[in-house]
Amino acid sequence: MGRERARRRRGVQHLAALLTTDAVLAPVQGTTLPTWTPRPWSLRPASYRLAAAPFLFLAALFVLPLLRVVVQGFQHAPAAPDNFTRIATSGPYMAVLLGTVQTACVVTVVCLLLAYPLAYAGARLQGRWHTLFMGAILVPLFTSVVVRSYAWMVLFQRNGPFNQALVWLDWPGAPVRLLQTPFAVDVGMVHILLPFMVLPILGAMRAIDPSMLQAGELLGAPPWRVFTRIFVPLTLPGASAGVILVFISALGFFITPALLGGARSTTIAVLIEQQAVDLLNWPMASALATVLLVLSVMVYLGYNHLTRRFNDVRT
Amino acid sequence: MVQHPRLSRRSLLAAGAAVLATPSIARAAPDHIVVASPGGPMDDAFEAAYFAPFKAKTGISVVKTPNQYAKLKAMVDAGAVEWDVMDLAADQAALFARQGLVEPLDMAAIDPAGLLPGTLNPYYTLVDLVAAVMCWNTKRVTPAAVPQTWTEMWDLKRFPGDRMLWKKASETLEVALLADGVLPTKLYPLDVLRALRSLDKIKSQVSWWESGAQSAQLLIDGEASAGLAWNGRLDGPKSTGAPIDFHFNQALFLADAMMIPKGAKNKRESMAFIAFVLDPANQANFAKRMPYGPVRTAAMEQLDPARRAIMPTAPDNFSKGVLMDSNWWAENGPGAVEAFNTWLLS
Repeated sequence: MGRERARRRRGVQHLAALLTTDAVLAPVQGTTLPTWTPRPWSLRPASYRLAAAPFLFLAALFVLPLLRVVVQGFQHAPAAPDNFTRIATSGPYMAVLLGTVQTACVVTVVCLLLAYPLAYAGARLQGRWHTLFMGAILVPLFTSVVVRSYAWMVLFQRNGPFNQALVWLDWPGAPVRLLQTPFAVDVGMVHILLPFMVLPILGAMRAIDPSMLQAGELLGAPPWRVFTRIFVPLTLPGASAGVILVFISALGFFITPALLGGARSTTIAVLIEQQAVDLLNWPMASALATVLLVLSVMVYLGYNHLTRRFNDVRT
Repeated sequence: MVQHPRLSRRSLLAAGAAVLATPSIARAAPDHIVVASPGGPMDDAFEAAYFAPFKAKTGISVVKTPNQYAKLKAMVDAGAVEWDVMDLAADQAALFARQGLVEPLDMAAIDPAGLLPGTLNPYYTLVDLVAAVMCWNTKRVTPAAVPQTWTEMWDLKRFPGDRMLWKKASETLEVALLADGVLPTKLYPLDVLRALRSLDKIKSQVSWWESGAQSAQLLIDGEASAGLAWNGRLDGPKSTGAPIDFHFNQALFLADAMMIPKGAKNKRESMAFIAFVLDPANQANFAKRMPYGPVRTAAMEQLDPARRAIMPTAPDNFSKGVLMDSNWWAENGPGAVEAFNTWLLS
């Protein structure tokens, strides 16, 4: 009983603390209080020197080569149309790009739907069970993508376990074609990218102060409302980080679509590889890579814009 | 006591300049050359048949490195070529020669007698022949239904299940044209549009493979009933009892080639190595380890009859197929690849 009362008291204190913050009081009083907002991070002159080494490293080995790729994308034979026109108007390029984005969208949504409940369960585990859970999430990362994609090839083949199960169930039309379908690619990619969705969401869930949820309960909110109005918003930064991580990784996928996909599963990364490695047409490869880069940056900027607006609304 | 001559800075500089100016011909022979090779089982056969014996004969050891095509271009563009010899597919060698990435061969260093026609090219030489053959799973295709021509392979009523093909334009366009009734002698120049129309007929029942290992697996598992694969990938599983078989009817012969990257530093030793690879005894030693046919006909006589029978270059086998035209691919490859990729999505 005593413990229960103490927990409640803590909840009330927390609520009081929340209610007296400037952000909450300011609109009430109609005035803007002088507030000190710590900037996320700031550099003092002394730390500039510390930052110089990594900055130079990135500038020389990442930014400059990247610029070279972009510049190279504009090179083309005098008689030929420029690479970007070619990409936009002819050949398989726009269709492949569209297909790549489509696959990335599907994979991201499925990952989110699977990862959220998984992380929710994981966040509630303690001690040994939590260690086991983290192991189950992390261990697949130690196996190469090639091996995991080959494993799906074995599972999905005509005589594989899935089809044997379907035959046993008298499934109409079994054995069915699973390999070389978009479905196989989606499953393989979700399997490989799931940890990158689970981990940030799990981090966000474990960082939630339980007294926040209790405060909601104390104010009379039913559990579903506590979940949708307090818990979910607090996990959104983790979920959005997971979404951006998975989506941008999915855009550049190469091995899994190549091994599990069929005729229509060509991804933009496969075309870049053909141009860069087989045909040694580096300007064309660079142009395709630039398109992929611009696409990724646009997705990231959109993400940034959304999260900033979201943060503005919250504070 | 011996009086050392005083070394002035000027004489030291002069001596250094003289060393730098010495033409490479006059330099001492290197103690090793670098050969870029495809890796895997090919490398083991290269090591046993070419690299180790070359070291024994000349004292020059061979350092292996992966034959990454992009690295070739990067090295040549930067003027810092680390490789002396590169082994690669002949159509790639022909393409890279057109792109100015290859040193011309010194024909005087190679004995042209008894080589298959077309072996020697200004910038590269063929070193062995691979066959892209018709193959099938013996559990899924009855002996009576075994396709004897690509046209029969294209016949969807002949046997059930998928046909497997390489998810690349080269080889696939060729067999598609043969399936459409084009005569082997009239294959080149390839009619790309006709090939794609021919592929349309079986598109719904194709399993595509992207690596040699994957092709063998698709066939052994029965994921595909029949199709196209390289004889070197089928020979091993077949001999160890996998339910697969193949023949050389209407096979497409592809070559492995060797070439010297533009600006390679030890050209004389590189040429010596290439000549050594084309030596009949060494060619035979390679063919004992990999079922890829020697280009030096005298090498065939050193193989036992059973081994000779599975060689793509055995007269009985070679006469059944057609040799890929590397120059057509070097010239038209980029356009054909784009057309094929577009077709895949359609």
